[in-house]
Amino acid sequence: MSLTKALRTSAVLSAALVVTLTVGSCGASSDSATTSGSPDAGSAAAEKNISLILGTISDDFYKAVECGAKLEAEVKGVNLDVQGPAQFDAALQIPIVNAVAAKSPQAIIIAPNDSGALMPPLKAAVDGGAKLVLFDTNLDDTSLAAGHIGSDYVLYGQQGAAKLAEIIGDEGSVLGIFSPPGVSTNDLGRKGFQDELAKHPGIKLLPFEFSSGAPGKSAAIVSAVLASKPDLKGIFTFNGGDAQGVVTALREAKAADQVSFVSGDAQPFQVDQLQQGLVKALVIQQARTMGKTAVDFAIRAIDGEQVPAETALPTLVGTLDNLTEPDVADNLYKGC
Amino acid sequence: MSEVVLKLRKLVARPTTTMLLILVAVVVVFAVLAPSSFPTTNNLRGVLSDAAILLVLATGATYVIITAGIDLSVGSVLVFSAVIGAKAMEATGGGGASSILAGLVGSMAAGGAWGLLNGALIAKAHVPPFVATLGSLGAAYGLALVISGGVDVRSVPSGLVEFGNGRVLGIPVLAIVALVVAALFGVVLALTVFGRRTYAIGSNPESARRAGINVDLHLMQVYAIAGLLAGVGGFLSLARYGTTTISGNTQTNMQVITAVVIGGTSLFGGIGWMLGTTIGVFIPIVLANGFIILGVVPYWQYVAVGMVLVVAVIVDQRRRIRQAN
Repeated sequence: MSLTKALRTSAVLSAALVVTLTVGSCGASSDSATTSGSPDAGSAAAEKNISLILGTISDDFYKAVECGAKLEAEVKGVNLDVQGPAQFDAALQIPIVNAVAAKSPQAIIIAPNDSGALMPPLKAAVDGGAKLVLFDTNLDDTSLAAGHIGSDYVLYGQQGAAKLAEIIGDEGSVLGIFSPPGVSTNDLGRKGFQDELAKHPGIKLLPFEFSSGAPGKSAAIVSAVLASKPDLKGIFTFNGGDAQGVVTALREAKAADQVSFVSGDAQPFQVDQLQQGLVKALVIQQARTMGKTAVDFAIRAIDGEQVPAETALPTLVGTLDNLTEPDVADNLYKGC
Repeated sequence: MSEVVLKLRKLVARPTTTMLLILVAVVVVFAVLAPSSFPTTNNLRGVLSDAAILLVLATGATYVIITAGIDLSVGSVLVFSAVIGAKAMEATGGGGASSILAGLVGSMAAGGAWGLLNGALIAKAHVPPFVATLGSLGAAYGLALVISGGVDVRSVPSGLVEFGNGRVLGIPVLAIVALVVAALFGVVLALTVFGRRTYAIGSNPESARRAGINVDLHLMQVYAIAGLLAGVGGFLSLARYGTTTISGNTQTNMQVITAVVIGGTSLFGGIGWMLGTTIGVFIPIVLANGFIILGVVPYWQYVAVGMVLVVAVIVDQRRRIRQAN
């Protein structure tokens, strides 16, 4: 019994091995053609290999970035390989960086999961000859990268505050939900939000509450504030992940008519909420443009050109009225 | 049939051997498919570094699972220990050898304490291991957030980070540390009375008790080892990343359990080898590494690892059925 099983296992393994050996040899020969770069193979030598490492593969924002990058790579005729951890977790992303570096791509585009922990593996990749372009999140030492592309997060917060003020008619209490202090994007957004509301004397800004995209948390926050602040008129969440919690809490308290909600991000479920009137406006990062620009920068860096060290794309305000306009429609967070 | 053939039969039939064959096959396949990038020294170094911390954790988990227990808390305990270690280094200051030592002691003490707590809950309060360590999973993570204020402690001495990313004879230091830890605890498991008692408790705690083994004490020691090694893992994590990665390590416990089970340790207890665990740590890491090099869509990596895990459990089940007959 045990011997037959062992034999069967070995047989299956060796069969699989033979098959893959045959397939592999074809793959290997084409592989060496592109990488060896012999002088007569002009087109092969000019081929550019770029690896895109997302913050996490399970996020609509990154899927939209991936889409923009893929479309641009097609236009420019470069090879784009997309990878990413299942969760936003440095311990999961570092092995991916190591494996990508082993392929020696000419450029790596990455949204680092941690500004410090990703430094050593990315430095090793850069030392190995890869150009580095950062998007969304950043590193402690930006000198390692050719450039970083993000959104204008101060504007993000400002637009959220301005739109909310407009909707509630410049009157009443307003609640802002952001990630806890220390998350740079949220810190900037909070500043923009606060500064903008300071220009609206009729509005009272309640103390900030903190949630990093956990709907359960944001629902609990909104329920508690609704109970204690009857004059609450507006809510803004920086992280789209918190939107579901806010909508749920407003529905449970039957307060959706009195309280207007504006959210950051534009994941598919948020666009549905906008169409249903559950959220009045979305502040949208130009995700596809970010992916497109990152690929452009990577190509320029490979060609030895300078790229801007810091690029902040303006955010957009999406409402029911402009949802189908190309600017907004193209940048909704969805893959392609 | 000659004795040699019989011995060979037994060897091939062992699940560890099956898994070793799978690992070798996977390596060969990737080496053939990506000859210019997979079988390189740099990539091998990367794989070894990626495996190091998981191997240290899986070493402790092997003991726990052999006792038919489970430890879900290792990832959180790792984060907690890293925070304590970083705070200890911050408090002692200077960034010299003495403050690094303080960090190591801090991390190990923190990890060991959680392990002891797990052990006490399981052995003395008779909380099932799944529930006890699920509790610690949340509590350790929460306390790590409380102590750090939710912000990663980044003031790790640069000397420690240099050590963590350094090499000896071309081999990553972390990998050497991990292999030494695994070898040490592997020998203890295979050759000492402590190891034999661990197997005995996993096979049948009641008969172990009647045979005069202090089962409660032994279980507490086993969970303390797992916690202590999670503490070591936390310190190694500081050395590798230079920060506490508070929001990270969410999947570490599942990665560790996957590795131990792939390595042929039975979730029903009483069976397991450290060599198997070592192989079990490498299979998912090599699969992920090779798939990324080949440019396979990331989602498939999880499918492949899941399939290997299920195959490992099928092998284990068949052996149990065979033995029962």
